[in-house]
Amino acid sequence: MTEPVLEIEDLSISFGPAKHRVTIVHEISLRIDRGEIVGVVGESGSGKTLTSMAASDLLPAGAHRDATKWRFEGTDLMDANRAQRAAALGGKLGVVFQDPMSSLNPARRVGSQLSDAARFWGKRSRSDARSDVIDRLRRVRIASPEQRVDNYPHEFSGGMRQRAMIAMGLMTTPSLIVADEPTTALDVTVQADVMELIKELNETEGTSVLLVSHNIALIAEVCHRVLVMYAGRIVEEVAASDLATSARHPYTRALIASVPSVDADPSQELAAIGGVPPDPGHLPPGCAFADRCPLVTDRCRVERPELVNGVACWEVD
Amino acid sequence: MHWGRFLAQRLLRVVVVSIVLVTATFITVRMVPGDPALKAIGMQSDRTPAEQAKALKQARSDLHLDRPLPVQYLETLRSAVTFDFGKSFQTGQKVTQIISDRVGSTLRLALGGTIVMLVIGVPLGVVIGALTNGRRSGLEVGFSGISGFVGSIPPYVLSVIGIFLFAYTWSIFPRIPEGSLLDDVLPSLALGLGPAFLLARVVRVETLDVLQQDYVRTARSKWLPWTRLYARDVMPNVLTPALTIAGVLFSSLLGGAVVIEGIFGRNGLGATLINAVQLGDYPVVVAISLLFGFLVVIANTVVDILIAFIDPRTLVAA
Repeated sequence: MTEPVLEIEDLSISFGPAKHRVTIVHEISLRIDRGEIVGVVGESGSGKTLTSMAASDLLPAGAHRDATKWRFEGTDLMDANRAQRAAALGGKLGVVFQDPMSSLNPARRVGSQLSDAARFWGKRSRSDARSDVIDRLRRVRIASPEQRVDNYPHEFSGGMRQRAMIAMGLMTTPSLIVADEPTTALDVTVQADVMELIKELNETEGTSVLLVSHNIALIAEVCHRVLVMYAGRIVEEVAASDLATSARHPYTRALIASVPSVDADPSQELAAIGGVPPDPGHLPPGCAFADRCPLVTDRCRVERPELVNGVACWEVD
Repeated sequence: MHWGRFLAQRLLRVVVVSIVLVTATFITVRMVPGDPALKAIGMQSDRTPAEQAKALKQARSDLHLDRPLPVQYLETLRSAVTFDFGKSFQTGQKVTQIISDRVGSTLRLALGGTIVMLVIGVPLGVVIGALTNGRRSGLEVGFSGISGFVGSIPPYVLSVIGIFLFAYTWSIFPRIPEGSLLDDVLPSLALGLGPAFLLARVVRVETLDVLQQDYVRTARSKWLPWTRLYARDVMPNVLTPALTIAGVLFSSLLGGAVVIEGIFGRNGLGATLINAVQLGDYPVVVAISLLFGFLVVIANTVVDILIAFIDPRTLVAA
């Protein structure tokens, strides 16, 4: 069981016609081992959602994907056609999407939407799939799931819909769950519930998780390993337990510093990272973070640092 | 649980629309120039002016045209409620008889046109939508041009082209009705082709919209065969707006049916209606208008019910 669940190398994602192609994600490599929870953190536009969608073969129409390696549970997906990819991923990769209000089909009953994968990939009968749905809804702590299974999404609250989304990801006991901001739309108590559920699943079923979030505190709490993305590149890769103490990249340090603490003096201004991320169409030749970096040198502006020993920075190593 | 209220609302709408329709028809037929009583008795040269005046008076009395307008209005309303429209001013035949003799032909044509519209319009729109999702801008431009062109050809022009090509040049279809189902093919195509392309345009845009929705991405994440993806997650959401548009197109389709019946030599309500308007044959005009109006309301009610079945959120709004 040493084979990783997911292996991607040199993944680039770009948009637009050949002449004006804008690259959003640059040569990212990603490896998730069995039973591992990997977090991807970064601010809006850093390419973290696109990376997770590429990993689950759900890029939007018009996106171009380039990679040198893409394997799922040992199956090569690089040259696979649609049917082969479906056979490899169907029922084995669960995806939890970020917007619960729009990610469920308004015209279908919740139970029917949830049971699709179990019926097709798990070969469950209609009534078995239905009891599976009720079981999963109960596990995500939806009250009276026997009635709720026949509801339409508009009869669910936002929190319930997000939990139903997560239940959908759990229907077939997948080997990898890709969760894109699974708790961003939820209030704090529900967030904690959902994270607890993901951890529990990871511990009991050995399910690997790719967790995407802008919330570095949440990532540090749940994940084993953290990838920090900035402007479409991984700038740091670090064990979650070491995150607070041994994060080296100035961007990671700034992200950690910007998490407000309960003990902080409320009259003080919150720590923030000055400036905005660069336009993906006009990336600087050097390090993309240079303009916002406290450690910037002349070298940073002309020469781009590669990811070496878990960090992409000239000034730290 | 909202069904009772929903259906009651639709029924009330049928009643209100029918009243408005009767009133509007009542007013407009009386605005048409000419005296229906005079047209009914005709101009007979052997009558003396006194006899002519007497006959006219008699005709007015027979046709209830000498009564005050409010009384005539109430009589019209009553005839609409009881479905007894009396006799034609012109032929003296019972109006219900005139209609029942001809309505079948018109209904078959309208039904045929509707089937052509739906069977061509919906799949064409969905396929072109799926093919032009973020790519093939050439196909998109081509389809917009062709569908806009075909959609704007009036049905009578299509009828003439159709008859010329498929009944004269190649004798595939009969030139005049022969009493078989083949009679209905050409007129249905002429009637439904334009609306089909207009519908396809709307359906294409709706399909593109639905394909970009988050819930389709959710559905794609299940890796089901694409036939299931379209049948379960895409089509229900495309059909809701498509059926609404189809309901609207149905009323213009009905108008087109009235016009092209004559071209195909069909003995339908169209020619009867046009004649009746010209001759001021009030009961016939009111009855046929009411029938057509009723058909439009029924079609749209059927659409609403179908939509409520497909997308239950509409019931909540009711």
